[in-house]
Amino acid sequence: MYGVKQLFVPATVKEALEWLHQNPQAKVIAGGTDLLLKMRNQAMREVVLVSLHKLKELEGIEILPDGTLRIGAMVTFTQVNRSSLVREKLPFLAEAAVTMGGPQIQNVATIGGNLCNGAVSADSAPSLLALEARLVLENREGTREVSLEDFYLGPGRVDLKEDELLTAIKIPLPRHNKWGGYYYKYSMRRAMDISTLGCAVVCAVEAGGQVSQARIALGTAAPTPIRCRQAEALVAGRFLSPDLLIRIGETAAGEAKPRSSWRASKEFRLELIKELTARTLVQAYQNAGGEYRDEN
Amino acid sequence: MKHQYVGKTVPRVDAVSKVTGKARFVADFQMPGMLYGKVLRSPVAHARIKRIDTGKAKALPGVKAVITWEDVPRIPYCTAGHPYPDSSRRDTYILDNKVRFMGDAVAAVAAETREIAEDALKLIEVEYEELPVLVSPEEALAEGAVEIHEGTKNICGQHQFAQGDVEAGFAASDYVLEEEFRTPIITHCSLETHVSLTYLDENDRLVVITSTQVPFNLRRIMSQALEMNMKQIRVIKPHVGGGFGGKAEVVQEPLNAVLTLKTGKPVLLEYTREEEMVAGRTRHSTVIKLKTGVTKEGRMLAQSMKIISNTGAYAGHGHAVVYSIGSHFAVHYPVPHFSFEGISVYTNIPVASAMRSYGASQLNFAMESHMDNLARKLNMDPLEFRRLNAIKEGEKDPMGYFVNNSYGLAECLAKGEELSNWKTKRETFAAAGANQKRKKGIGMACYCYETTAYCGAEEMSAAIIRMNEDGTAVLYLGSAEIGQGNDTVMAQIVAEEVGIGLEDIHVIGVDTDVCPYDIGAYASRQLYMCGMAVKKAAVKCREMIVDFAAQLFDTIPANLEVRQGWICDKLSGNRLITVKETVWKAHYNMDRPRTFVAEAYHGAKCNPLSYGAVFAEVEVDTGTGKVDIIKLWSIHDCGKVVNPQLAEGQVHGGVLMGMGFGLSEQLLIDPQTGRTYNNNLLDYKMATMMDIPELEVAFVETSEPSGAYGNKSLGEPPCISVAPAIRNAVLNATGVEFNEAPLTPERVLLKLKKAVNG
Amino acid sequence: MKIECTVNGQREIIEIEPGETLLEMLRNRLGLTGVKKGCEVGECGACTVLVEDEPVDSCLYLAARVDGKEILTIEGLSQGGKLSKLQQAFIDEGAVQCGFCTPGFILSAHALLKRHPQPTEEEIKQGLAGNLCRCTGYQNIIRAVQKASNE
Ligand SMILES: Cc1cc2nc3c(=O)[nH]c(=O)nc-3n(C[C@H](O)[C@H](O)[C@H](O)COP(=O)(O)OP(=O)(O)OC[C@H]3O[C@@H](n4cnc5c(N)ncnc54)[C@H](O)[C@@H]3O)c2cc1C
Ligand code: FES
Ligand code: FES
Repeated sequence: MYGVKQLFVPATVKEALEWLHQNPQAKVIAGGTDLLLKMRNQAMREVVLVSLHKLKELEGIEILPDGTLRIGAMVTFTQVNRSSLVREKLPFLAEAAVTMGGPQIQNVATIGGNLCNGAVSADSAPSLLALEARLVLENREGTREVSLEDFYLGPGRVDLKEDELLTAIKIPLPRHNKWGGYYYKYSMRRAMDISTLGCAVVCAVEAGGQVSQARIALGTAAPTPIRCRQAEALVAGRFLSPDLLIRIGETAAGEAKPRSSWRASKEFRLELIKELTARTLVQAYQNAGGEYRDEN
Repeated sequence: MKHQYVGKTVPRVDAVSKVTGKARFVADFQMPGMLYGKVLRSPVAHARIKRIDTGKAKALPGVKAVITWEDVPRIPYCTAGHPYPDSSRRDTYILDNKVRFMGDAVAAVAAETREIAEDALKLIEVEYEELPVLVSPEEALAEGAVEIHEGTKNICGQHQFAQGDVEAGFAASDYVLEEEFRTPIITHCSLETHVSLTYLDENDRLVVITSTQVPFNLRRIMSQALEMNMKQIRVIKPHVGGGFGGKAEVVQEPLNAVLTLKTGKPVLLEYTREEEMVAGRTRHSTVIKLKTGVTKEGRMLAQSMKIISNTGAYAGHGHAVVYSIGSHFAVHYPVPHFSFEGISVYTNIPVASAMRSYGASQLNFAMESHMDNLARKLNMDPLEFRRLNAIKEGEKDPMGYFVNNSYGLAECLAKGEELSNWKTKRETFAAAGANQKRKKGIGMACYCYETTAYCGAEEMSAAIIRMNEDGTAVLYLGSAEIGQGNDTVMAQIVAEEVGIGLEDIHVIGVDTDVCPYDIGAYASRQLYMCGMAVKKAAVKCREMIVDFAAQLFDTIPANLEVRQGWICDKLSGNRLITVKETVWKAHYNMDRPRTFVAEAYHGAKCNPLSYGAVFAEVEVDTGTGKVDIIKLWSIHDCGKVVNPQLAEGQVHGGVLMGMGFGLSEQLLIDPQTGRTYNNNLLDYKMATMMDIPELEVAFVETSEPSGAYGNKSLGEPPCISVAPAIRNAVLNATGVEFNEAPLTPERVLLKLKKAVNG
Repeated sequence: MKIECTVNGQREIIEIEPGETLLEMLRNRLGLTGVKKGCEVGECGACTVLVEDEPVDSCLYLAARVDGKEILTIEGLSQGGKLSKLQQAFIDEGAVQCGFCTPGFILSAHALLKRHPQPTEEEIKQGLAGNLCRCTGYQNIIRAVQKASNE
């Protein structure tokens, strides 16, 4: 039994926002896979919850008139994975979705919860950062949009007001005709594990084989998920080579600020960053149709 | 002789209830008026309790009892579930005025709901006088270290032995290698945590329904801890959701009993997973020094071993595990000169105790890693090096603990060599070139392991068979089914010997009110010990039935025999009457009605060795430090296999447990505060289905003369040699010696980088 | 609060607490003790039940959420006393040891086979990755699912 004093189940977003405005101390529950765990670990009692599970407006995946892909905040990882739209437009995101947890968690955990929770290990964050996703935030007063990068304020902190809901994630679809992405989740187990390091790369390739542009993002490499802009600059307009890959890795490691914890030492994480940014870049490049023979 | 049931795969007797969700585990028993127990756990690792105030907690509505050390008998007891006399120190009180690890029990509450009990815990006020926290054995053994248990100098146990002249042996050797190995704290992770339900019956006897491997030892220890006689206590073991040694111990039942005695009510005390992983039990972490002298031809002349075992805050099975390590040390590679020194040390960390293989996993990791390192220095093939030095057919255990009357080690090695294509792979992998980022390797390790607990403990099992009037039967067992298939193989034996069908047998195990004494599910003893008791009882039973049939047919028993459920004329082979019909006729016979109840016990002073080998093929990703297992071969000589499917199941589970020990599992503890970091199943890395390797299992069937059907141990052995086989494969792949388990990616990557960078 | 749902084909109207988990509701209110509790935090899968044919960890799922939904527990699988193919395959292939994880595995596998009647070995592993077993090493569980899928 969780220490819940009251559970409010609104039927519309409007109702939810109104209620949140009246009850600023209330906590929002989506899938609950982070929140309930926290309530248990901290033995919270008398919590007032507002559950989003009946809000149809927060569901669904669609292409908006402006060509961006909209994923409702309550969309689960399973739904992202199974969505034919995601599979067609952003195949790597569909695959990345099922690197998190296991089937039972994926069936319940929402992509909105993953981001709002603010964990640096959130498995959706690197891919969405590399895709330059934007978040739609609403409260009673109105709607605002922030980039995911700006949404992260610091360790475990996000730009979300007490009375606000994340309603959707908007992803500008890559326009380049040769592009590819990849998410490399590095964890101790192949399922049911929090990432030791996550790396996502979205890259576009020129007809001649040069990388025209690459976006590189890392999870669990700094106090928040980050973009590695210096490493990105290094690769733009270049052909991949073993030497370049080493430099990319080192540059990304220079941009990251991993910590030592009982889960992994800083030294280890730095080695992983070097290795994985290079590997993920190669994989994304190949997914974009680029040809690179990896001597591994 | 051809068997009808023994040696065959038959469906588990408890399978249907388990796949339908009907099988009842402790927490599935609900009783009217049942209360929920909760334990207040210490937030500090070492302290004296200066003051406890339970007033506010007691005043909370719904709270029925709050107990502290002042409310429990001040009787120290030993929690190890062994027969008397205790194999470890009596150092545990139901509750004490001192806490010795972070998570130690401080007080307990019984309340109407779990939530009230939890809230009550928060209202208990405790003032601690903190003491220095000793996490490592080094700290605990340091001059002047504070004593965790008074008068012990933090030594839980210590012993040594030697044969020959080990120093002279080293001097006579061409080459001497001395190394240190380390093994981690592992934890059992039974899917069902420790849980018990206690209540008073209509005669005010204490009934304990509990998830245990050792119902009778538990009853004995409870009777001592609570000063009650055994008649006053009834222990019932329903289905148990895994044990692996963690439940070969009295972890929480006496505390729960006190809650019931105070309130007069049934109390369910169920550990949460987080609680289980600090207040349950663990496998001892060890530091093992091995020193070996060899001739240049590779013959071992002398060997010494020193082990420091971290037993944590209480003894549990404590030094008995080190005894077991010592007893297995000298027999695997018998040498003319050897010495052993072992010490178990108290520290302020969770309690280490019995876990599958009882120390042999730690010993084997060190020994088998050392063997490969030695072979490498000698430029010998590690398999040949082992062949040269391992115990041979007919060779005696130098210490005389074990018997070696059925020997399959050489054949296990040969089988593994062939199945894994050892020679070719050793050559091709070595030649594959140093520049590859993913490096392949093959390695192996082997073991020999006990069957029973003798001579560490008295060995005894018993069984009762009671024929129902229609020829079906009830089998009463003191041995504990904990998932391994005990009840099924025992039923197979009854079916075989009595001549009735497997479906005719109902197994009752364990209820101490009706079942006969047995020391329980540990070592790998039950099929060997209890199997023999069941066989004896079943033979008795059959003889009684045949006796009666002889009267029916006016002949003598010697002229009759039972075949496939029939009583037959021995000479002609003619079927006379079925066993079941005979039993029916016996019960409803006007002249000389009779019933059949057969009981037998088996006590033994014999401990046969089982053998086995594991071969591992791996690929090491030198960029990420990950070790991928391409394939494992797990080969065992457990004597005759009584149920192939169950036997294979033991191997499957054991191998994965061994793989965890080798690659990923470790309970991590803050060296400063003694806090356990990863006491949950997300952060403690036992394998998921995605992490399993390809596995091939093979058996080398020798016949153990002292086993009921030529059988000996198999329950524990499969977990033993997996970690060193993997470790040796990594050595083969990378040329780097990892002398500490587990080979986590971090450990592997950083050491490989260091090896490259010099 | 009151919810209405279908459990194992049976319509139920149940009074629950707002903080009550689906696990607690099924075990304590409906006596469905085949739903096991191994961790209470979504890490072991022992408490797996199907909500609208999808496996969820009932320990980490508020009972309030199943209002209007259909739930299947292990008790609902062998209706009429006949074992399902999957249950039989678990017995035949020796996929059961202590049995504590078994109901969760069977339900995860049941959902998997409904979506993928002929799963590959990799799909089986992915589909059952959220269920932990300490006894069987998973080998025979995979075989059991394969067997049930071939029938
Ligand atoms: C066993 C287990 C394994 C896990 N494995 C992984 C893993 O591999 N990778 C990973 O990234 N995560 C993992 N997680 C963490 C968790 O499942 C995810 O972060 C998940 O996406 C959280 O989503 P949720 O819907 O359950 O969030 P909830 O728990 O419902 O909410 C999380 C937080 O976000 C807030 N919130 C949620 N939705 C909104 C909204 N729309 N508007 C405003 N605020 C909102 C809530 O108030 C809460 O503070 C795991 C968790 C468990 C229990
Ligand atoms: S009990 Fe629900 S996942 Fe473990
Ligand atoms: S059979 Fe025991 S945990 Fe799976």
